[in-house]
Amino acid sequence: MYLQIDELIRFVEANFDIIFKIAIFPGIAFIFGFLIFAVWYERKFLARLMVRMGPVHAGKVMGWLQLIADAIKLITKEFIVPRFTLRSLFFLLPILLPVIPAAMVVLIPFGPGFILYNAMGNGLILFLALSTIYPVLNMLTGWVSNNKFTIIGAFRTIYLDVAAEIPLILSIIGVVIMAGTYDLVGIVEAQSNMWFIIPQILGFIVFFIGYLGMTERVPMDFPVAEVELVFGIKTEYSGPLYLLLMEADYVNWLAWSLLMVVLYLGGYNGPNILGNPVYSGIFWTLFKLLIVLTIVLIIKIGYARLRVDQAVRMGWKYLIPLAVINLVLTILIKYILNIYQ
Amino acid sequence: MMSMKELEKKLRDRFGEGVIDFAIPRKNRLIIKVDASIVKEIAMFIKENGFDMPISAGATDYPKDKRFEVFWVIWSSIHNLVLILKTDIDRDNAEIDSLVEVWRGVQKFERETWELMGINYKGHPKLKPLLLPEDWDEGYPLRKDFSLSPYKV
Amino acid sequence: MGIARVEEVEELKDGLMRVSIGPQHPISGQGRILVVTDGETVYDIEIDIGYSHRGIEKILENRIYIHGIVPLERMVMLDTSPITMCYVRALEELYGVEAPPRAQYIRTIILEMNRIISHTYALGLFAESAAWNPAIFLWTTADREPFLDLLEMLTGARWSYSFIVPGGVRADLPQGFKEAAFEAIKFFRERLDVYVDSWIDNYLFEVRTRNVGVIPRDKAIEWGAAGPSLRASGVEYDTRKHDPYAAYEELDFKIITDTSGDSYARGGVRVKEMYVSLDIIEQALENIPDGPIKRSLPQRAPPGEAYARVETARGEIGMYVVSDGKDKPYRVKISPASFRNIFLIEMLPKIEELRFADVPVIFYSLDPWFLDADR
Repeated sequence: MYLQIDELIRFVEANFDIIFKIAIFPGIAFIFGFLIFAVWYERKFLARLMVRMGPVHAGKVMGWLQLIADAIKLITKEFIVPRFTLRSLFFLLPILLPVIPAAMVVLIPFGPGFILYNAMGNGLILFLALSTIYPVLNMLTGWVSNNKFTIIGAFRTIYLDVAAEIPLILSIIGVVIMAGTYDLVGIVEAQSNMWFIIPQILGFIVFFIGYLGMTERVPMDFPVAEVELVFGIKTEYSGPLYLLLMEADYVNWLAWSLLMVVLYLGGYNGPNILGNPVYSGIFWTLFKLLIVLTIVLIIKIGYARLRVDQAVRMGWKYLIPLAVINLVLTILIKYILNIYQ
Repeated sequence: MMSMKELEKKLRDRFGEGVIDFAIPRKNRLIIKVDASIVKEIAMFIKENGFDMPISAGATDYPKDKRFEVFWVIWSSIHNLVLILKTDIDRDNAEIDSLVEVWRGVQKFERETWELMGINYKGHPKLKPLLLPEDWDEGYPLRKDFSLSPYKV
Repeated sequence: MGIARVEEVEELKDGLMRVSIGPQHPISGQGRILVVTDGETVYDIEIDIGYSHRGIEKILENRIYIHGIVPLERMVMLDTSPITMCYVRALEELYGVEAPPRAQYIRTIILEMNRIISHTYALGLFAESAAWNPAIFLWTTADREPFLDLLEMLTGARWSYSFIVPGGVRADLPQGFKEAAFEAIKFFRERLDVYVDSWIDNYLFEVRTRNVGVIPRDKAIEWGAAGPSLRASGVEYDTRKHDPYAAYEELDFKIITDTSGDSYARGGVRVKEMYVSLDIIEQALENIPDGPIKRSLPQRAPPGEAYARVETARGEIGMYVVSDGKDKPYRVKISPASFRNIFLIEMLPKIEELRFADVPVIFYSLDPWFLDADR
């Protein structure tokens, strides 16, 4: 028996780096910690803006234990499944959904040299490939619930996907051309002098609106439109399955926000204030992430929701041409810069 | 702008005996009582003379005289007058022409009166229950012989 | 009791479904909106009311006049005083008397404060239906507090005042009321400016509500719309001007209309009406005459009939009171404003193309109050 524990310890020591990354940061513990933080932050921040208090009691400091209490409550509820539907799919979807954005998070570089999986230099492509599965599964949750409201929500998920994804990808191509690589680490390194948000300002506008669409945030959050659709695609899910769907939503938000930080806001670039460049890089990534989250929450308070046809019209009539103009300008700039070099 | 005297004259000239009563109780109010058989023609005539916005419609139950007094209330945007058009119908055979084709807005009021008082409006497009629960079978609540107390215990 | 009647529902074409934004829904209130749709386009809307029908007309036939004021307040909880004012007005017409001038001014103050309270709540709901977050709704609900406190200072209750009685009002203005009222008005004016800035002039809000649910002028008259929904379609009609009561004849204010008739116009008319209400309260407080506040009336009303109208926040309410000489009314017929407004949405799919997401927006722009419609 000692031999086996010995082997285990040697295994962990040899691969400490990878195991730390998978288990603690930016792996499982980080994602769960982020979930608790993000839900708490959203509830508290929105509450203050709405002249309310938000969670106060559970957990003496600003009610952060409320989230754990809510999670426990949700887990211990009954599984209610609609009758005339594929039960296996109904259970499978909330289990699949949080995994995909989590897989997107592992591709992000948090600090110089600190990345969980670099995908052989093609991190961006893998990220986008994974992200296209998410809306399809979302739509399936609406279909499998066998409910008029969720079906309408499922239609809207498709509309949203059509409206938001194509301009998004076009704007990302602009960044790729500027950086010259699909490698996320390479893209961050290319921003060490100037964040891409400045030369790619048009692309950033398109990316931001597409990002709001992919993460289903106001003004593009119509699949879960409480006003007309009770709760949209998630109506029939309750208890633990609902908890999983909510987690999927927030992890998706995390993944896309990190992508925005990496592509446009300079990733882990920033002055070295913690002594160690890796720790500073991680600090800057998280700091910029927090700013992005706050801006999205402020937009949530300040604006109404678009109607589906208005969003699709905006995506195709305005965003795609804008992204194409951005591409053309980027190619021109790159060409001119190359000539001068 | 037509004064009410002119309106009365025109009405009486056209409909004669059908117009039973024409009263101006106070400023801006006009009460016309007509015969039940010609109520629709009088309504069209009144609409052509500027009474265009329907405000209300209903009925009053007079069990002692064995009649229902059905009324419609119309406002005129041109004359700034409120007109109450009344007619009497028989209590045991409660039927009257519906004025939906004259003023669309009375549709729901007539539906409610049908449901609560049991007056049949002929020609109404949709006499379906509106206010009462779906399994209501205890009579017409607004009639005077429907008493509120005996919720039989 | 008995078996439920089976509703005859017509068969729908393939691909259409009948969605019931029903009584159990985050935004529907106590009523049902049945929408026939294929997912995005709306083909037919039907409103189902009656979930909170209490039979107030029948109850009033069994109460003496002064006692009848209390169940009437429960008809609509937001602005209760215009409804009691309508009943009292009909009674005073039957008796043939007028309340003393000081009472008329106090009535005006209460009515206008009620209008502000109701409009802020309705506008908050409207913003929420245009798919806002509850932010605006919570702000407006919080900002009503100064007026609710003022009314509590005056009448002792926050929403069911039972204050306007046949013959006058029940009590006089307390000391310190005028100063507190002026402060509240100043505070509210600033808040209204904030709302107009951040929300009425908001691009996304306009995108959701402009040209949505346009009710043309002739249709509004033909279908009997009332209140801001009528005025937003270009019809200049306000009971306070066309059939004055309380102290409105002596006060100076204008009727707010708008010509576009869409949901944005209906919301805009309400906001401007709130500015006008603040002016009216200020004028009334400054010009209030001295004198008695109530005259006593005999318990039995003379026989006759009377039709009285009062402008509530939602529109005009009409009451037809028939008296046969006793101390209880023989028949009271109430035509509430919401009963006329709610059904306007049923005619819209026939005249314009609606989307499913527009249905709550239009519905809440009409300021529906199911309790009002049901009585």
